[in-house]
Amino acid sequence: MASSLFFYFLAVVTTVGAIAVVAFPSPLYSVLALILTFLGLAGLYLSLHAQFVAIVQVIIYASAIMMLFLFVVMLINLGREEKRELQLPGQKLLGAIAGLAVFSVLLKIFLSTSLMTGKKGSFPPERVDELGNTQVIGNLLLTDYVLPFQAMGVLLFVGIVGAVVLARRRSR
Amino acid sequence: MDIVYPTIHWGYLLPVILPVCGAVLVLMWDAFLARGERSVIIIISLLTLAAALGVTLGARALPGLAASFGGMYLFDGFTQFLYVVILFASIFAVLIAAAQRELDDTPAGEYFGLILFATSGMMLMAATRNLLMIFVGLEVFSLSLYVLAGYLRARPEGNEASLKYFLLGSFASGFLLYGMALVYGATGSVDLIEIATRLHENPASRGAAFLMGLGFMVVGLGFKVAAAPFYMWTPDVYEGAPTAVTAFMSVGPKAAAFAAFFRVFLSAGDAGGSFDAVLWVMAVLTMSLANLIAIWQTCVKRMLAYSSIAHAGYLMVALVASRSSAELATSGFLYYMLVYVFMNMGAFCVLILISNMREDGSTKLDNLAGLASFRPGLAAAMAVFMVSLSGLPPTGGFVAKFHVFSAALNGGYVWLTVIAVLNSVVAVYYYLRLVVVMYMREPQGGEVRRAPHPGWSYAAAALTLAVASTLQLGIFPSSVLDFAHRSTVFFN
Repeated sequence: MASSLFFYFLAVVTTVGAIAVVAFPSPLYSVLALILTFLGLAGLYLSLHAQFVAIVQVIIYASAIMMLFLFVVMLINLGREEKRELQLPGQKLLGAIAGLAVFSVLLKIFLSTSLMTGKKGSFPPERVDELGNTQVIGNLLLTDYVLPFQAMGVLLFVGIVGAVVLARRRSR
Repeated sequence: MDIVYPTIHWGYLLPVILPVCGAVLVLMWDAFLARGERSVIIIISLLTLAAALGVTLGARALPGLAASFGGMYLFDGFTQFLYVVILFASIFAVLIAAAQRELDDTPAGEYFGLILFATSGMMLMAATRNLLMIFVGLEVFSLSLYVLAGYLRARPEGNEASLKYFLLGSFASGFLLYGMALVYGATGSVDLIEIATRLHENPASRGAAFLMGLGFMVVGLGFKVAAAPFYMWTPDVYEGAPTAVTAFMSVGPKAAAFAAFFRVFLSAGDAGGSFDAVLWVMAVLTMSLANLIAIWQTCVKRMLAYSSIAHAGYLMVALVASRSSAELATSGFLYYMLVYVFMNMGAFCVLILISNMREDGSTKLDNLAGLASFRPGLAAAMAVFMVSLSGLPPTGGFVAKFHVFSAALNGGYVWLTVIAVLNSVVAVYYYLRLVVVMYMREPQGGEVRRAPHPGWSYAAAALTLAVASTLQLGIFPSSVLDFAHRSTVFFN
């Protein structure tokens, strides 16, 4: 009972944060709302016995990355979102209808089907608790998932090179 | 706890590792070069790509199930053939970038480094049966291409292209990822073979969640291959990006994303049955819209952008046909993809040489008027590519279309074939119009007679290779067709 209360609380925090990111007219508030969402997600990971992921979520996403976001928003001094002219007549209405349609289909799916009808994975929570969270993740990253792990390294490198290319050019 | 290492066949991973190492080497080397010194960088890039191509062609493909990293890396015949396609595309991308005047003043190390990184990403995406790797590979090449699209930062169109591609591309990646999450939720696995078995064993997993996931994945992959109705970004991005990047973007991502498309839908089997109609409609829309709009274009670069959408439509026909005649359609797709590399890259190469001749670097159709009278070789090469793109004999384009369409007929998609053939007829108009303009109209003047670009020998090599291969694939297709047929067995 307590754990499901915990879940609902975190789910509400996460969802409200996510909606606020889109709804706030000022980018600064959006970033702050995004931090709230990430904290909510960290709590959800915690309730799934994934302590390591939760801590990483807080340290990397909610702190480091969002700090950079804040820096950038403040540095380039983004004001409030400008009112732009809409491309199509009734664009907002159409968007709302399309969004609601997708939402209702997804809602129906989640209410009607039980997800994970296949067999359970090889690391259910009990086994993870027994082995230790960090150990399992470290082991998996360097054995089963070593290829995506390395490919993500390439991805990060591409990101760095790309950022340098886009930022540097003017001075040359 | 005991540590179990996965099986790794390092030799088969070499074609992916080489471009990554080449990219790092190029980036480091560039730091020690004088400004404007590019030839070392270009040669290193070409050598790494050629080495990767050599390793790929020399390797014997493993049977479908003998995979490295528990299925995350798969070097089967399908992979091998697509590696050849992707590596040829990047070799061309390097060659023609070396000859593009607009890119002369831009930093070379990052440019060719990003091309090589993008190559490895495409290869990873094509060589896996794991949804996770499909996504990682896709992001590696997408991120490189977002930057490359805006490489000429002085041009506002370039910035527009880069931003548009980045925003819409990230949105599409989100759809793809959400789709993968739903498929994982429904089946409990991200491995396509595992997914196929669970769908087979447990009918409950074929429910709405799985179908919705598959639908989102169609959106994400459809964006990457520029299929209707997700093609809106294509003309602007292709027009705004540097021409050498446009050429690469119109071929490489298609090969990688279609590979994922084929693998996903072939493993979904009957469970993906409700998508037959969706893919059918997408194929028809893509072909017809692109061809109809292409007729009205007066800018050759934009026309080639719509042409590349139309070709995505023909490839969609192969995808639809693969639902009922898997082997024929898959080999048709592979052959088409290879021919497409040569004819499309060749056409873009000619376009670059033509825009080099002008001060403003424009690519209007009128600029090609009378090309045959003052650049007969260039005009003849362009004519070969146009004939091939429109699918007339004796070029590779004809053989490729023939195989894809006969696979569709064989699969019982009569109407789809009829529409595809009609579309090819429409396309003949705008491809051959270009030939008519080159041969029948008087030159307009306005070309600046400049000294040949220092990279002209690269362009000459690219053109020779492209013309020879386009004709060879059209006149003596049998050995490559055999290779394509042998490459179709992947899993099941």
